[in-house]
Amino acid sequence: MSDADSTDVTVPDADADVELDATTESVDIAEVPLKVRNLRKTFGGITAVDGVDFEIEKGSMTGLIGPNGAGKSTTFNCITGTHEPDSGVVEFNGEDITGLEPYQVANRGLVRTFQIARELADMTVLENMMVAPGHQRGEALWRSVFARDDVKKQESEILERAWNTLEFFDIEHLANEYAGNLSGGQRKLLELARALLTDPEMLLLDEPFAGVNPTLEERLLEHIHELKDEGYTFLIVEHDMDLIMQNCEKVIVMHQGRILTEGTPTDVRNNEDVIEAYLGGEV
Amino acid sequence: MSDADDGGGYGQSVEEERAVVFGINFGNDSNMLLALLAGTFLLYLVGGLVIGLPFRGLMNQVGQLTFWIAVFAMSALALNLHWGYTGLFNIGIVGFMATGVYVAGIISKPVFGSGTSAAGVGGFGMPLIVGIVGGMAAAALLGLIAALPALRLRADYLAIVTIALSEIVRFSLLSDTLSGANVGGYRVGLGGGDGLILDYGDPLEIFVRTLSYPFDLVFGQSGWLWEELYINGVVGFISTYIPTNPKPVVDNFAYAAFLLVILGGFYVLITRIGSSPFGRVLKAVREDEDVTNALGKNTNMFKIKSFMVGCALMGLIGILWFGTQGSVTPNTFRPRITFYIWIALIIGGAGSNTGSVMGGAIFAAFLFQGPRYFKNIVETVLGNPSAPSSFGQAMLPLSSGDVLPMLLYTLDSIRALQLFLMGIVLIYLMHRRPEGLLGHRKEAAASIPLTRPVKSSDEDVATDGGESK
Repeated sequence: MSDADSTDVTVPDADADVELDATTESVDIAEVPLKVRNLRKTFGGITAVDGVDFEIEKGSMTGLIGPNGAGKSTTFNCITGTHEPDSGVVEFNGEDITGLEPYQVANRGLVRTFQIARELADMTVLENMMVAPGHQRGEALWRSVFARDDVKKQESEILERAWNTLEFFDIEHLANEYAGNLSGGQRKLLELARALLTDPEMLLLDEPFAGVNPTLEERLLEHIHELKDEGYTFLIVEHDMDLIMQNCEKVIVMHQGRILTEGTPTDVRNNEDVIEAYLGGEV
Repeated sequence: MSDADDGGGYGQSVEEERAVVFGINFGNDSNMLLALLAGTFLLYLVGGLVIGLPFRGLMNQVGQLTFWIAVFAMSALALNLHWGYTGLFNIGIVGFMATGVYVAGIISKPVFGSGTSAAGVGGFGMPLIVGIVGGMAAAALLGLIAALPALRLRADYLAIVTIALSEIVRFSLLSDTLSGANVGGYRVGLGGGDGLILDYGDPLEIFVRTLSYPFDLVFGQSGWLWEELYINGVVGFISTYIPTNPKPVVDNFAYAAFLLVILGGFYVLITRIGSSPFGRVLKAVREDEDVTNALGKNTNMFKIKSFMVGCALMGLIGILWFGTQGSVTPNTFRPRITFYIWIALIIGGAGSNTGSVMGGAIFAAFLFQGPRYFKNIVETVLGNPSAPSSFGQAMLPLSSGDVLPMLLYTLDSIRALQLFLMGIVLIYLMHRRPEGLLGHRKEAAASIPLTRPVKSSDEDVATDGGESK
């Protein structure tokens, strides 16, 4: 169910990766970093995700919509390792990452933000930011005690990167404020800024605009488009229809744990099943 | 103390001269600590003079006080690493201390039957330093055993596992089965209810003699530092003030001073661990473990490392605290001690290292040794009268306005009332000031001050909500 309009490459069968032609695979990986195949997840008697298949292309902005309870957040959680799917495969950059721990998924460049902004409340904004980057030499216990000069060098670099990112989001004036004291909108910005500092390839944003006023929403969108232009890939769960329709190249619609349809915003907007299940009539 | 006095630049320009030692900003902290300690010692000295304690007794009291301050401060620091930084709820502290001192004892005790000792079991006869390292390693290993099952569960489960383990340790120490066995030709064991006699020699003497090696080479004498400087020099000097048997008093003092130095080392270690990227991840784990995991940190690894380091330190404290008293018995290691340390940490403020030291000092001086000292003072002032032996006898005279028997009865029961007093302090703190003395002070978890970085093109930034570009 992928729209293969940008490449001529055949999507390989999940069971046949071994026999792939090397060049085919490398082009494929470059173009389609995230592949989800036949994902299933049940909680007790409830099947939250029931055979979900999709692909996300590099550098794109894809929207994932659906009524509450459709299984969007669970899908996110299965992709990023918070939940282990009952069956199915998640592939990132050609590597099977199904069932890996969240930190392992994040270290491979696939980073998610949370629906309710989860700032580290008792730490300052700068500390929040500086937790994020990977490969910090100072995170080794012995170095924190015995190799302080080495660590300090890297800390300065990280500090500068963090500061620059805060400036990009225009919240550098909050740098030494405790994250718990920020307003809701500021926390959203921090959440996104912090995720960026992990140097991801692809970002899964879970309702990034929930509870955000229109001005801030516009600002956020501007930032996200800038980032997209720099090469980041986005998969966004959102309820704001206009926002999704106006900003995403592709929209995936979920309903009751399954993919209802996917396509361009226009396709989706006019799809009768979608209208009936979700949009409730006229758009 | 205003928040602007936080140690280390927190986005404020650092104007004052701050003492930077071992890469740690001391600044106001050392002043605060010194003032507290000086005030406490002064109080004790005045109290002692009021009683009319002879010099020897006074020196003993002060030496004891220093000892308690040192051990409680060190313990609070180790617990701060667990709780203040990583959010690990460890209520089995005393189990790790017991492990440390018992394993050190077994490793370093002289081999059974090798001569002078009347002990029921012997040890492996290794040098004390091997015993200390072994004790710390054993405590860390026990910490690992505690952490592994509990890590994937909610924090409360770690608490249950730790207190269960500390009681398991105590019961193992009491057991008859484990009290003696033949291990590879050595007769060793835990000693059961009788405990272990720690006959590996005087740790202070061993330490000073070890330190003495360079001096020995210079002076051509074995143990110069001990024989000449300590015995002849220091003890000899004090004997002018304490003619009869001055050595134990000086030993007390010397050991307490030694512990203060180790406390300093603890402080440097924990502060370095805390103000670093490693410490930053620990704090993040405490705040929100799922988010920290989602940012790419292997949170289990960080929790395990933090827990093991803290437990190793607790093992060391166990050795330093209980390892010099000649023998050690299982029932010393009751959960009560764990909760003393928690109170000390809460008083000082979890999360702050200086607070931990202050909390330890205040607990030792005013809640632990203080009440007993106070009892001595008052009874001496009142001329050592005999106290009534039952509650009824104490209460009855109240009806005729005679408060004295009640007072005497209270003082006599001071040991029991100490716990009551600690409870009151705890309740008051939880109600009015849960962050303790310095818990409100959040020490930046970074190796460098988190001030605005200097860049090549330094533009003006509007301070309040303005746009920067």
